[in-house]
Amino acid sequence: MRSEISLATAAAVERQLMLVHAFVIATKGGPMWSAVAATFDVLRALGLKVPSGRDFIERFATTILALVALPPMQLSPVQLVLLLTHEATHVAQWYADPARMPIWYLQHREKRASYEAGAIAQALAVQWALTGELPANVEELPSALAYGYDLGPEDIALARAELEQEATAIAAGILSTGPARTTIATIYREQPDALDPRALELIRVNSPGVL
Amino acid sequence: MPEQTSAEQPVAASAPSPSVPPPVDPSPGVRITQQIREALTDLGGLALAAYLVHRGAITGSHALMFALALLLPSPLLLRLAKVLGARSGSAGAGAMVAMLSASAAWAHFKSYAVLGAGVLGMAACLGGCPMPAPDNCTPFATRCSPSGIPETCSQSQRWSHAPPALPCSIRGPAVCCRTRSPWGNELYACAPPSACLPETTTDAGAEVSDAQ
Repeated sequence: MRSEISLATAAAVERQLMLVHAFVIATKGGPMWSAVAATFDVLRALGLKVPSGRDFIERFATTILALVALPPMQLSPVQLVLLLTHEATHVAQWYADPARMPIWYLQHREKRASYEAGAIAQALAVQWALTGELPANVEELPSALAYGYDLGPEDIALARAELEQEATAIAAGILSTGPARTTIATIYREQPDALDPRALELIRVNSPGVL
Repeated sequence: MPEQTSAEQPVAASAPSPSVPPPVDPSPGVRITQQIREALTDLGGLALAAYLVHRGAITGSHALMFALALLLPSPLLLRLAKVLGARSGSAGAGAMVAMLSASAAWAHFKSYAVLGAGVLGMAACLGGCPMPAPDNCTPFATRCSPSGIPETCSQSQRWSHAPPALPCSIRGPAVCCRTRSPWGNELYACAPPSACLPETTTDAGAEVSDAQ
């Protein structure tokens, strides 16, 4: 029988992700973040589909280059592991293309959709390794993008299509390179019974070297 | 006429000190923070200069001058301050204080100058970082790129993939091929060779449109 991820395992994942993917974690709060939140309120008033300042601080994690800022809320170990895997992917995307990634993410909606699809796919791989299941409906894959990213229906459709490609590989145990591999390997080392046995078997066969 | 209370009596100003007091040495924590900030400023400035040269926005000579301006003045001023401080007498101490103040002011100015240049650079880039030319593919069709990465055609008709994405063969014993997703749709994705569908004669591995 599978066990829930413990706090100690989540802390080990956090340490390993920070070490392997070279980023630091902070908690949102203080005058700088208040100023950013006020900017979001202004952008929202101008008609952009971005979160309110309050939501930005309290509900959204934000990655700026190699800084991951988490909202000041209590997260369960599973939520923390999935969130950190998602944000670590943005850090990896930045390291892979440091000059263009931040500009393209801000400037082009379809690029933003692709970057987010990549991060969602990494967290999805971890979720699948924990439960052995994918969302029942393909439309659920990019559901997190509907609010707060200023994306149009076609951008979300692109993210859904790219996520379906990634999910097809994940369902076969073929894991893309990136933070998901770090997270799954750490959970396997710290608490192997938290992972789904069937998913583990597929990962062993089709992603050799992860475990 | 009311009398002036003793509290309102003018107080004689103390005589000015004949010598300038030595500067207060900051605590180790403050010193380390200042050094880290200085190093980050210099690194940020150098990275910015390198990026601008790479983009062709400035010449190498300009970048060199920029780098010298970043790296030289503070250490030079600090060294001068130490030399002057080593000299006896109030004039040496006064000059040392002036040099240390100038050094701190320069470091402070540099932080804001580099930050400002970074913001301006980003603003300039936001106006001029175009996407690559369209590939004229069919929106939402999928394919395997020449390097073996599954891709989707975006609404702007450019082939796109969710980063980080590497060729399927690097992930494990997988290939990029036409296959069926867990939701029953045919698409190109990384799959074990046994899960690949036969190529149709019409698409011949080029691309497949998403049925949805």
